[in-house]
Amino acid sequence: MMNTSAAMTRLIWKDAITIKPLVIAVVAGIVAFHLIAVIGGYLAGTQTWTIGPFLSLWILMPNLLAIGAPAMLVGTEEDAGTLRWLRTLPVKWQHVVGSKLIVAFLSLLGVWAIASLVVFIVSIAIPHQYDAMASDLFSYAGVASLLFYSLLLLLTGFVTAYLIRSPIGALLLLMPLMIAQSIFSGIFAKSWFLDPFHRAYPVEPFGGFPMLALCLLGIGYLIILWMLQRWLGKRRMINAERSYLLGLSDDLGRPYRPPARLIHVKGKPTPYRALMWQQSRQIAPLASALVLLAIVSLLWLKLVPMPSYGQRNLFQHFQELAFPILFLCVIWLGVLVFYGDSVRRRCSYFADRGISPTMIWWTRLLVPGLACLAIAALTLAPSAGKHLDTWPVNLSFAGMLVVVFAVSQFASQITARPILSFLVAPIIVIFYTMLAVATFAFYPTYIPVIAIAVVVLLFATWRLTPRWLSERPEKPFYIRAFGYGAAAALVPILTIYVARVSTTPSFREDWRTAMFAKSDAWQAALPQKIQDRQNVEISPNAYGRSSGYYLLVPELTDIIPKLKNELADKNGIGNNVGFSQLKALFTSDHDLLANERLRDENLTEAKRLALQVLAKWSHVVREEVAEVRGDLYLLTAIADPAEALLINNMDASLGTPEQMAEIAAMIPDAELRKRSREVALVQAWRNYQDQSWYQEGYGYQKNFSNQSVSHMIAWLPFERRRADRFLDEAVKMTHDRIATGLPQQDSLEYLEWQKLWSQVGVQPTSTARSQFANWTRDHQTAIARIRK
Amino acid sequence: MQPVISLDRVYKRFGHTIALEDVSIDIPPGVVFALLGENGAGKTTMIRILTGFLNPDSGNATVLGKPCEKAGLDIRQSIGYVSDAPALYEWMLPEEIGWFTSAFYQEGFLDRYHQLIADFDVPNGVRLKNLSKGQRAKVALALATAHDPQLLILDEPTSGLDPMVRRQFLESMVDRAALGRTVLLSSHQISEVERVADWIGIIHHGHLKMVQPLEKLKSSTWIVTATMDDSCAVAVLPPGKVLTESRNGRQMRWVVQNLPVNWKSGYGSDSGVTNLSASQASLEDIFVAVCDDRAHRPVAEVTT
Repeated sequence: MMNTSAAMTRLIWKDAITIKPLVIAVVAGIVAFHLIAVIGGYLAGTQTWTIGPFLSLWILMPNLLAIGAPAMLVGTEEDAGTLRWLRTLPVKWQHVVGSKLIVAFLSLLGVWAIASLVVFIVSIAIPHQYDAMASDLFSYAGVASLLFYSLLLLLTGFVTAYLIRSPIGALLLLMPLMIAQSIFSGIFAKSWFLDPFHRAYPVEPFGGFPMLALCLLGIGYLIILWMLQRWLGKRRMINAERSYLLGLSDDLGRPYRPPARLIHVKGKPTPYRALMWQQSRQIAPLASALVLLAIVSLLWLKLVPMPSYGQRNLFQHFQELAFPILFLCVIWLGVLVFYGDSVRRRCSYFADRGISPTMIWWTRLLVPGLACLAIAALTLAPSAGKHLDTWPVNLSFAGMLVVVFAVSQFASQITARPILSFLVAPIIVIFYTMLAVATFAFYPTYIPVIAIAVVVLLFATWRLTPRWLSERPEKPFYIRAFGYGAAAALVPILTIYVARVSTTPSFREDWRTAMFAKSDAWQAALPQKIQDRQNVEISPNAYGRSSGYYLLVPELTDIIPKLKNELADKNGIGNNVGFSQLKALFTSDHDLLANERLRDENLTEAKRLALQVLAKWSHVVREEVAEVRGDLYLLTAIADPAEALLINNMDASLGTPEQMAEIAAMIPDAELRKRSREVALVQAWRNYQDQSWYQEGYGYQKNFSNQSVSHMIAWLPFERRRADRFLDEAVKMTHDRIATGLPQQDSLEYLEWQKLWSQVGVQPTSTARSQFANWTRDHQTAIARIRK
Repeated sequence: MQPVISLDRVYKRFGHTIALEDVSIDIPPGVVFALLGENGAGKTTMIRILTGFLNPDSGNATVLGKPCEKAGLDIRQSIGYVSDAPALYEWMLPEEIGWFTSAFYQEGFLDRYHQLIADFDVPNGVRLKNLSKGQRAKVALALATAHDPQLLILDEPTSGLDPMVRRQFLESMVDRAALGRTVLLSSHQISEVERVADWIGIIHHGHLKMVQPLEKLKSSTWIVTATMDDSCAVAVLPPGKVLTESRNGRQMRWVVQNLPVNWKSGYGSDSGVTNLSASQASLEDIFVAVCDDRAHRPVAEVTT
């Protein structure tokens, strides 16, 4: 008889090989996900990194192994029938059970070590902000609590794996057990243990006696679980198998009689009906449990309102668990699509009879697919007290569930070991999620394109079904599967790129030549103009675009002398008063009087003088720009806001008709307005053309009127070309309409025009997208009315 | 008459291992064809090529006139096939799997299935996973034959069956052949095959060594025994195709095909042979003679 250490060594060798695919999948996931996160961050030009997402991966991946290890070590052997074979060998049950636990424990520690190493490398390789959660987790208490939770998962997993013969039933039971244990341990540790201690002895909760006692209790609980799983393991290995159905049947010794129940069914079933019956029967117990759990999670999310602040009740406190449970339910529903036929290669039954693979694929998909769609439909229902509960958000969430299902059914078919698919599917879902986030962060308007991934993944399983049916998955099968998986990841991205390239406007050579000629002519005349006229000094105080100026009530003491000085100033603008002071004068009389800086009788005069200053500023700036001595930024930052403020506050009660007529006369005429706009626009366009794309941080950019263009995605050459072409289009449309009048706000044409500017890739608050709005207002009519 | 199964110069290799090499065969309708071969000889590979699960590296294979490479699905729908490890949904009851399978075949399947399953004494109301191995094999056989296919392909069909059912099953194969159906079975149970097969094919290391009607094969193959006067003496080979030669003390033994009637004439009084006899070879003798790698095989074919 073999000695004890040799038996143990060989059992450990066998278990290590059994669990190897899961360990490889988890480690590959750890490395791949960190790489995706880092590369995605660099491509996005992230300047300030947060360590939070990396910590989530650090915690998630080892715990995935803790969930999967018992299922693999016990469930796979149960499915393959080798656990029964082990019972026939002269091997002690303690060795079989002990070997599984040792291998699972060492794998868990190994994966924790690898995950910690990777997160450590990431944390020193990228400059990240301080994170309170990170400092909590990296403490002794943090690491101890994480290890405790992993061991809790592992031991509970072994308890359920030995308790329930069905590996998936065991995995399913693990979920509610872990939720119950999490809630219980959370309540116990905080409410019954740490809080009373904290009240009695004002000490740091994670230090001193409470922590030590809590650790001892935790270890004690783990020991109880260890003993329980050991006892259940012994029961599985030693006790006789029970088959209640066999015991109940009295037909074993009797001759065969055609069953009355099926004979009464009229004729034979149609293939479709038979296959639907077979798939429903084999997945019904698990699918029902998953759907039920998903609905409970959904109700938890929908019906329990989340307070934005203050005390949370028990349901609110653990509401965050509902999301992962819901997603896990949908993932496992997806895995059920091919699971039932993968166990012991039962699907060969169909292959041996030449049953249509398409019909098999369709009938596998239909039941879990409908269940997933039903869950997705439920997410569209409004929920209680959620401010983010809008139709688009709910629709996106429902769409995400469908995508997750599609990924999972694909994982279910391509994973060689049926049990492993329940653990590999979440990893593949995380991979696709990270890829989707990295893509749609740049292209949020293209989110519906993700439906292509669903189509590709469904197409993949349809095309792979004949091979899945007829052969044990080997290299050619996996090469094809990898190809389809890559296609599901890349086709949506390529579709976006193709859409971006194909919707890039064509090159306008003639128009550009004309624009260059116009700009060159103005530039050629510039030296003479500079000689003819003294430069005007423009103070930053005159800029009216920054919203920051409006936040505080500006200094208005001695405003009338300041306004008069500003009007008398021949050398510049903004040297005596700022735009914020002028705006404050028209904002609220009550505020002005209340701050006691201005007397009532002076208010009218101050306002009138302010109107004159605004008219002067607008005029001066427009003339400067029209003479090619100013730029678009100056125009949109001073002249346009000044004019708008003036027109909006031109009140006849502020002065005599003569005084008001004088102000009206100061307002730039239509010709000057058009000329200044045209010159500014053409010069801004010309400056843009003279620039090369330059790299700042990790992205390329260019400036249009001091605004960054396509900062995030311009590292792609076609995006740079697209931005250039759309800028041509937007400038052309703006230029063409300066003469005839830009579209009125809220008109369809206006929206199209705004959309055109947004395609350029300038920032949302930029000149082009918000300040051009001033150009669309019908100031000309208002000015004409004032002048009358 | 168009063959039901036809293989023409079929090659198949897995990596460096040759599974089938230059295999050509035509199986006529209405016969029980037994494919014999040791483990790893290429029997299952040939069956997987015939059922369209594998494509040959070169050569052509057709079943019922359909090319196996392109019409695998079609072929499997038309024939009955039981693999060496038939996959069944073990959570179903025997009556349920019959009802379920009937969906994919013509009317009459269910009645025939019930009849077969009753003949095989399979209990009802018990899930397949709780049936014995032999009972599961009976269910698999019933499912493969209940639609009365033109061709039945069986890979080790009687493994796990008790002797009574085995005999009953094999006799039903003969009945099928009598009705014009064709049966291709691979087996190690040579004595059983001998009882039911019309044609025999022996495959060895991927080569189809022999394809003949069983009766012709048996009638043309003899075991010749010569007793020598001295244990060192050597007798000349008997005429015909000598498959193997063995020696045990003073006795020499040959397995010979196509032994002529006057085969003794070559052994005169000076040949050192004191006693000569010939008996008809059993199928097992022939099989061992063809497949035993350790046997001595004289190269020359002697003509009288």
